[in-house]
Amino acid sequence: MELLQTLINGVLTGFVYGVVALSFVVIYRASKIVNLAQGQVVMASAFFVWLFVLALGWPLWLGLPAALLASIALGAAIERAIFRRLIGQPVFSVVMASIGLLILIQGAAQLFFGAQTRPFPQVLPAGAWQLGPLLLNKTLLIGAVLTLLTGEGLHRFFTHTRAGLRLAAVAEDHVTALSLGVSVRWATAIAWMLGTALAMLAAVILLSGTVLGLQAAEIGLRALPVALLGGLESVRGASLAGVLVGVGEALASRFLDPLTAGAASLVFPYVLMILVLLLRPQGLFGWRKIERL
Amino acid sequence: MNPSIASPVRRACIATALLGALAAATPALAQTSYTVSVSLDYTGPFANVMDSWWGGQQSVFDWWNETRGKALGIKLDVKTHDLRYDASVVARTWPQILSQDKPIVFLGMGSPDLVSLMKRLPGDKVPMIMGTAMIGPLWTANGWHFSYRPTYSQEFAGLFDYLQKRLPEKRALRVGTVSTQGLAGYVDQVNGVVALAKTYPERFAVVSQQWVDNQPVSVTNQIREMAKANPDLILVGTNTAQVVATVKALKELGLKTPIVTSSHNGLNEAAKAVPIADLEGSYSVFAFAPYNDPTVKVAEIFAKYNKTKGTWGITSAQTAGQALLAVAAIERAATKVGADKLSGQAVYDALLAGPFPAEQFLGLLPTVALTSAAPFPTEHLAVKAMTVKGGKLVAVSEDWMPVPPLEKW
Amino acid sequence: MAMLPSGVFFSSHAAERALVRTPPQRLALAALLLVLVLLPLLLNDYLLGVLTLAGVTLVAVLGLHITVGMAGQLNLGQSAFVGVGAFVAAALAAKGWSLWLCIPAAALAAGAVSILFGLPAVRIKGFYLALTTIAAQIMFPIVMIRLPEAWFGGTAGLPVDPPAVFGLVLDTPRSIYGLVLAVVVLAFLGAANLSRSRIGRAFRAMHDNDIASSVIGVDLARTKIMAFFAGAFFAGISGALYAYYVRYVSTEQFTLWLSVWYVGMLIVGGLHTPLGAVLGVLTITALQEGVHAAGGWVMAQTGSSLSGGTVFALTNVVLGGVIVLMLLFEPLGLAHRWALLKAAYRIWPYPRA
Repeated sequence: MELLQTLINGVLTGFVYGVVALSFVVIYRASKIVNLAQGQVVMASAFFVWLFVLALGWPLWLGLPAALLASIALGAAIERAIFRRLIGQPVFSVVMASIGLLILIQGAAQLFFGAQTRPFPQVLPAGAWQLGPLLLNKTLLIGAVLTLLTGEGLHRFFTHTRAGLRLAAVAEDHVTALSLGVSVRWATAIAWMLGTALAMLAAVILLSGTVLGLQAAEIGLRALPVALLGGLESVRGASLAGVLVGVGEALASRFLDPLTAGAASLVFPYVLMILVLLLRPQGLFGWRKIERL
Repeated sequence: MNPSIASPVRRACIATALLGALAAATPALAQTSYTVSVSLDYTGPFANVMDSWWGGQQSVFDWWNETRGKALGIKLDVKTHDLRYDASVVARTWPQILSQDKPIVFLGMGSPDLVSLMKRLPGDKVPMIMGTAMIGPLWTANGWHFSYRPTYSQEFAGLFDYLQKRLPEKRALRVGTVSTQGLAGYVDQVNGVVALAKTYPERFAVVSQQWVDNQPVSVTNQIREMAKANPDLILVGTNTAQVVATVKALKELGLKTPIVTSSHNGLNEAAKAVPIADLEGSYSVFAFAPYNDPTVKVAEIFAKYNKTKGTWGITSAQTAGQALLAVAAIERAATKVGADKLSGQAVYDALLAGPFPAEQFLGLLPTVALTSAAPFPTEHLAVKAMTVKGGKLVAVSEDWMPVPPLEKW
Repeated sequence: MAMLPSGVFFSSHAAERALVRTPPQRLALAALLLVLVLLPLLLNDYLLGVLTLAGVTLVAVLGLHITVGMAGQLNLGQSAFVGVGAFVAAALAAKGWSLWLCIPAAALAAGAVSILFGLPAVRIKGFYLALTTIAAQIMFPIVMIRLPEAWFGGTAGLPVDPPAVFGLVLDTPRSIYGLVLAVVVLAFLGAANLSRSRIGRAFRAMHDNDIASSVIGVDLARTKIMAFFAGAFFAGISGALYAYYVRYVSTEQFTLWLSVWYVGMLIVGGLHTPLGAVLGVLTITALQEGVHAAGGWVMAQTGSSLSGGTVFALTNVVLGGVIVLMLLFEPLGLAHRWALLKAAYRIWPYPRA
């Protein structure tokens, strides 16, 4: 029974990792842009929510859509200013640009909002539901359901709609997509807008009712192994990988941490990531790329 | 004029002239100026609390200069340095501070100052005074760095002692700890409390140690584990995020165990994220008086002399205590070697020359008894705590709560 | 190789391949070295300290230039390797080993650790390899703290005594500057020479097109591992110098943020030449100090801290902005601009090629 509770908590936490990874994967899936600054983007969305709901005092039904619009606008601005000019450039430049973006957003967040921690509104209900002897954290459970639904919806979008399939072409190769008449610019714009919208969902699930500070960006680092495990192009894989990592962490925390002074659950995602990179770089559901000379 | 007749007159004239000159010069000689250097952080992680931080120190120094300093003939010139809470910046700025400021005492901020200067101070002969709590690994002898606060674990021990004595039955106080692995201070807090339980097994017991992420998403799992051991208190001395997560976990599980926090992650911080009603019965404990304690006269000094945008709160109280210890040592040194012969060495000797009575600190600190055995007092230790009663932050007790003696762990 | 004025001819291969080829270049180099040696007399202690730390960073960024610029392996964990070097040097110095042994030992230790994380390079490349280095960086503090306290000080870290060279204890700003300057000159020479050597050419071949280079006989796996080793070797030296300078090592001093800044410095300065590393470090250090000084001045004028966190935030905004701008408009960095400037000067009044 204890084990079951541990597993359940691991699954719920894993969905949080999954939604952050999903925002990362969506950007990659739609435009082949690796965004190492995704944690900072989640943090920025969180600050927007705080701004509208707490600082300006708007009610939730008004503040949340406003924050959503602000996040999407931020994504569009980033895409327009930076990544549009890097279309067709090697992955190296894109990764470097996302590094620059990381530093920039971190600094800008501190500049506009300050370094002190502040409360975050209770967007999703607090508390837990009792299911027999088991406890299910309300926020995380609702978040998990939302993640699954969004994941499924996006999967349908990418695989069953015209627009989504065009985006898949862009994820394959920019130049090829251009030669086929797909507008890569439009694809990157969509990618970033979707990605930042998802980042806001992630922020809300992660921070509902707790405190918000600059360290919220650290979740981005946790999402990288998850995105990799699921496969960088796989929207469905992100949620599943999140669950796997969450459960693995919970189990490691319970059984291995006492032996390793707490190191096991902390390094688990990264060791897993290295194993994935060594054994199956495309992750569980990613595309297998065959190199051509 | 006949020289032989005028000679005594002339001598009298000369003597008067000399005395007059001396009298005119005396006001200039009476006030000796010394420099106190202060480490601040305007650009790093603590920049947002710098106003209150500096305000606490600045108001004490200004007050002292105007009152006790004037009586002693000493003027303290306070020079601030933005050391960015970064050990490498401290390392590269320290030679400049030494050669240009020539301070008689240095007010440090935190661990970057400590680690960078620990080994240099005995050679450079400038004592450093801190206002933050210490940790076990820093319990070394013969240093020139001091804090009026002991280790976090000793501060917690003071509250545990007080609460254990007030338990309805005669039994050990059951404490559960929530902390993070891999961060020096956080692990040490728990080690110290474990040592306390080992030293007084019939009075304290650590029934559960839970390790969580530094910024946890949820700690319900761990609190559930802990609840099986039925602790009387949960110690969360690390950061606000963990306090908030623990409060939420307790609420989810329907438990009402009080939480014990320190000064930096205290109740007022947690109250920003959770309704204060959820904190009912929890504690914050530290080795200086709560800022809203009416016996703390330093609040008036702050109100009168503060020139910054800071407010009177835990931060300014903490740093005011730091400044008060510095001026207490300077006063004692001046009485011993003379107001015009002060130096870092003299202030260092004064710090170790015996306990400083609590009256010296105007209600903010208990008796501070520093020795060369540790960078903090090991005797006469006492703490005060705040708790939430009826939705309000109140002091737990009017008197200081003594800390049971603890050996180095 | 840059253009030379007309009338300069070489009669031996060695003379043409030399780093310093003409008498005016030799003169300029001698003048530069003289200025660097005499700087302690001109600058105050604080600026000297800034330069010393910039020098320590430069050694690490030179290593990064080898791994990233020459061999094309994106390394986002350089700070972790610096940390390994710093801890090893501190641990050995605490046992009484002399500086001459500590620094090489630190370098070798960092290199050894980097091999561990470069082994995946055999199978993966590009962005995925960068992720491995991020993993290394994140795991570094977690593992380091849990190693036995007798080795590396556990959670508290290790204090370091000032180093002694030829019986002279280096505990003044000037003496430690001298040590760092000597090491920086050697490191720069090493990095510059590396690109002219066989392994350096292998690095560049691998960077240009790894599959083609394997066709002509470059052992990809070995070369990739060598690239990591070389970069980490420099990082280890940088770490040892850092330990001697700050005189305390703890895991909080070696963060992912620092690794990111190192890469940022390289981007700004120019990835492909050692000069780029120098320019990048100097520019970013100047920017940092400039923003802090400006912030301090503004705060003094307005008489209060307009939320002092603004200065720290501004540094990041400026740096991040500079990196992004460089990537968009001058991906080859300041070194490239400098090379263009020199070329334009040489062939004036003809337009640039």
